[in-house]
Amino acid sequence: MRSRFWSACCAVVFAIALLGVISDDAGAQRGRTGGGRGGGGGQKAGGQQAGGQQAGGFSREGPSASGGLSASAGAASGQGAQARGENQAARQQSASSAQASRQQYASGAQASRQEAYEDQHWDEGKGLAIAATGAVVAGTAAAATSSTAPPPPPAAAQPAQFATAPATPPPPAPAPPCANPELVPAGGVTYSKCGTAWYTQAYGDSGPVYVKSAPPPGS
Amino acid sequence: MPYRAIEVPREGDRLMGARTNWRGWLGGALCAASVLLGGLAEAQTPGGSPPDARALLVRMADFLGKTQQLSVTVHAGYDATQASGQKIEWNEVRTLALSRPSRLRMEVEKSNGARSLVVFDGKEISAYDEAGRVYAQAPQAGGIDEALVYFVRDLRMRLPLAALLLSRAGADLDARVRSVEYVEKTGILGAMGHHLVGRTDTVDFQVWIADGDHPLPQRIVLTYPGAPGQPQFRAQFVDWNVAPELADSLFMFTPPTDASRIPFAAALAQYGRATPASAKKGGKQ
Repeated sequence: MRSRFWSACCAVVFAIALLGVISDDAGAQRGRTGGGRGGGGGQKAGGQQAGGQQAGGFSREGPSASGGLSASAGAASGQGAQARGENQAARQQSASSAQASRQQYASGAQASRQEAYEDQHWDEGKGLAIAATGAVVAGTAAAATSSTAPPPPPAAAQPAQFATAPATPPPPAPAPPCANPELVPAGGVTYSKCGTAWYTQAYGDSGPVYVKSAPPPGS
Repeated sequence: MPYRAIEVPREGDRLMGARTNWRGWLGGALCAASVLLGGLAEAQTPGGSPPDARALLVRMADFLGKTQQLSVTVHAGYDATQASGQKIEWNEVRTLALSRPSRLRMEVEKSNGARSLVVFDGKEISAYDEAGRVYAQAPQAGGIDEALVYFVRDLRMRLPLAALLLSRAGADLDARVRSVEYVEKTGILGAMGHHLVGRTDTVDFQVWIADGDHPLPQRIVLTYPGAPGQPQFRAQFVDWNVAPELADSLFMFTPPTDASRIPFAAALAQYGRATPASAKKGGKQ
């Protein structure tokens, strides 16, 4: 009889202790971590690393490539907007108040808002995302090059060197825009002619790429 | 036939039982109270209230912005959401050397072996691609702050976490961050640090900041919730050195003799777009 009584007592104490631990844990999760979203994201991303082994045909582009602390508003999707209830509401508020102030103040205020926006969004990674030979760029490469790229400096005894040894064999040089292009140097720039189209090489956010250009001067 | 005791309740037993019952309940109540009090005490023990997350974040950025020389290696990775919806993580290692006010060098090795170099020397910005044997240069006088903004915003080149390298990084981050909370104190990354979680207008972030006199970032995770697939950028910082010996030659870019000079793609695009705009507005070259 006595042993049954003590067993019951122990069971009650254990149950109370268990409830205490559960409530403490739940409180800690609510109060200290603010939810487990970040952790979940990390696991998900980590689980998909293997895909990176096969580089052929996979895109390297995306807003996260910039590693910026701001992102282009144009990248918003329904799923993302849903996940950001509070911020969205705040943004809507600020958007509506901004709209009101836009109506009140004309061009001067607009200019200062643009400056303020650019102050905090300069790193949003607007990257050109020019796929090799895929972009049509207006203007002539020669004109742009002459205004931004003075003649190469004389080579010194110790050219650019990397402090660390490569971990992976380097990839081949970027392929030309077409097989056997006609190469035409002009104004310090080498143009590649493929049929009737002209290309020139330029340094993009992911390295050198070929971009369509106007014909070289005098051609 | 085994012997079987038959229990016959007696008056003394009932009295004893009632007394035991009362003591038992008292014991149980005391046990429960001690467990609950213990739980409450445990919940309040670590400092009472959590440290000020925003203050920790700004302190880290201020420290970075005010450090005159530093070097660090960053193991970074980011998700690229494919047309299929699958995400691929691309990795790269960035080795950074910085000497304020105007010199910076960054070596980059991507997971496919492509290596590139970016050098700011206070007069020019140079970018070199080893596999293509090409380089681009743009004049940019001034300090690191101006060069970083010009490189990322105007030349549209990649330099992840560039905002943390600004001399005004503390104020910049304080202005951008809409909310930030303290998650926990942890030593899981090798040294004790503070784990924070926060949001800017468009980016969710987590940062682990080393505890102590050198509040340097240990790890950063950025999530882009507005982008399809909610991709992440992750960076793990190793080998921080806030007093490195940086030779002048480190910040001099000399192209190899067989390398060709090409323009920055953004310069071409700017030229193309600037033509009609400049005719209207007076032009910003």
